[in-house]
Amino acid sequence: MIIDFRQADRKEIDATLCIVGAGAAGITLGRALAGSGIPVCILESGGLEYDERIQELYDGKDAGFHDIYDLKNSRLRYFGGSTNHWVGHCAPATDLDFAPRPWVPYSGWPLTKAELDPYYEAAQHLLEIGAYRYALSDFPDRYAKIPPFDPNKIVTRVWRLSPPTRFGAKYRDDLARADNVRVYLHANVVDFDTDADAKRVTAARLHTLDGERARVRAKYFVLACGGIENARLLLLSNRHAPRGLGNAHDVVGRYYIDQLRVENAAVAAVDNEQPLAMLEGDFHRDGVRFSSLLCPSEQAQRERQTLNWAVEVSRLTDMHPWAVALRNVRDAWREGKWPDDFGKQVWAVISDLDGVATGMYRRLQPWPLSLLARCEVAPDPENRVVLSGERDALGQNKIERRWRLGPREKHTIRTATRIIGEELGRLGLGRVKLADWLLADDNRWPADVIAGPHHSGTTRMASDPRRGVVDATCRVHGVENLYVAGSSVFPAGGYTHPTLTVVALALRLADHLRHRLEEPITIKTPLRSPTSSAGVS
Amino acid sequence: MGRAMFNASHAPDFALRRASIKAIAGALCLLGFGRNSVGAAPIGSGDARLRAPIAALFRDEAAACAVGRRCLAGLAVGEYGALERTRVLLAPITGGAQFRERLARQRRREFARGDTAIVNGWVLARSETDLCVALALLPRD
Repeated sequence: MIIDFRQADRKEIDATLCIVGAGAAGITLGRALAGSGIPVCILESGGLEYDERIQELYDGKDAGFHDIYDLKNSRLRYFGGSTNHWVGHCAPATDLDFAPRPWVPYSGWPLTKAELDPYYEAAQHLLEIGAYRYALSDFPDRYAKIPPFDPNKIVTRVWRLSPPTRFGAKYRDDLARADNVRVYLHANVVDFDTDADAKRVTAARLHTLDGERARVRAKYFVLACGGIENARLLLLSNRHAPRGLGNAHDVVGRYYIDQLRVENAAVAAVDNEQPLAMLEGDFHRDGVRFSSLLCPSEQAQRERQTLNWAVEVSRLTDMHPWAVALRNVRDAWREGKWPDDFGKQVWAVISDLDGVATGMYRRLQPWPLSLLARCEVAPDPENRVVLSGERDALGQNKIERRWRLGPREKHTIRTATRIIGEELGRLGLGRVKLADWLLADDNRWPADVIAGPHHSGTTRMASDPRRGVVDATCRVHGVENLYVAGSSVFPAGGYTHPTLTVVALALRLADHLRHRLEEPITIKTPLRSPTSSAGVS
Repeated sequence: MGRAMFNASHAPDFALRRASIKAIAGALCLLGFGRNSVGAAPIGSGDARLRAPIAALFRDEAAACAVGRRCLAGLAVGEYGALERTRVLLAPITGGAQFRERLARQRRREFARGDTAIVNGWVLARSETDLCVALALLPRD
């Protein structure tokens, strides 16, 4: 059942499970429990369509790294959440993303990828992306045609591109038909009521933009509002916990992470397009769209002490002002010229020594390709979101985001493009030229490097409450009946887009909650394998 | 264009060492390329003889010299190991296809182990830049 909360008669609502937020995580969780007999209530701030007044509640202030996606417009506050505007890139995090990496401070999840694999597999169906296979070698016809990269340096993977699934439109009917699920629209949760020692949530307090107020009582609560709002609601729930709910150790809001996307981080000059053509652009199999990735081996990450990264090969683009120099390279190549004498001279040298473009160099027409770099952002407690002094239309403190990029990210992008250069050189395919800004040994970044926007990490998962907000089951440390779903629980994000992992974690949480609700309440309940009702339709 | 860089290490910093450039020049002087080298005194009379097989590797000798000069001017050197590496590189010069094959193997090994130099952003094998540096330092007849 889907209800407009503004027109509901009852302002005191009871449920067994209350889910706050109807984006990818909240809808997945509610749908997984549809038909379970467990009374579920989903509270969504927005309606079924975009509404500027509601979207305005996401407004906030940015300090530090200048992200071209601001807080208000980088996410969507209505039924379906940010799946209403996502592009659809899906890939699971890697084994190493889950592991503690000594060269990446604060890295490591309290669970392994193997534990999440069954849920990743189940999530594939919800995202309409086919089988759970992400190695390019799973597509032998294509794999056979790519250059034989050194597997100790580079592994090839694929994105699977969701149509993209709009969770609101796609799964609305499933929730509407479920006897045990009620979805309330226009129901803004402003904070949680707790018992006196803030160890148990007793109710979620609701406000509407029209001034109506209500409470939802439940046995369990799940925060599923997104990578920033999850932390915001915990910080706002400070009646009995002055620093905010679950924030005894001042971790809520800290360790904010995102992912970087750097167009034209380098150009590859190759003597013809064939060996790299299989890596460029999208391809289709069984109704699913794919694109290829060059990724570092675990060995390469360890040896070169990088964050996780990926490189995509594409034609040079005109998207970003800082790529002007590289566009000049492209434009000159198109005209059969070099943009500068030095590039011409380098190409002449390697043509002679390496046989690259034998017979071609005098025509000065190597094939220019762009290397798009994707890069993890390192966890850092100083990168954070906090409550600002400004208030929104509901009287709630807005968010201020304070974060910066550091030398690890720049080192990673520089190393990534360099490794590609080493491999193209080893294979005699051509040479790579790094963007000028990557050469400087400083921490300056082009003004329009794109971050995600994949807000994550603000309620990170850790076994130690001093290092994380939720435990491995996604339960808030110190609060026995409050869970968090979504990318805010990621302690490290890798380079892969978060949606697949968000959905997999939500399915895992659904199993955990179902198990907990079926048995006498204990604080820690072992997780089980996903059941047939865990979201596979 | 950005500054030229050399760095064989995988460390995040691109430490620049002018001293290493001078070491290359010194090495070349010891090998007999000294007449016009950086701060070097003339040594021997075989400069032209040694220059010829290196120059023969390049159809565009001027381009190789330009790259070599940029390497030298870049002031960006990591642990270059100039003396030993340059000696090994230049010792077997006899010209011809055999030498080219040897250089190709050397280049592949360098790329494989990440022994590369970044020159104006270009990722080049160490021996590629070594040859250019040598050519730039050798006196012309």
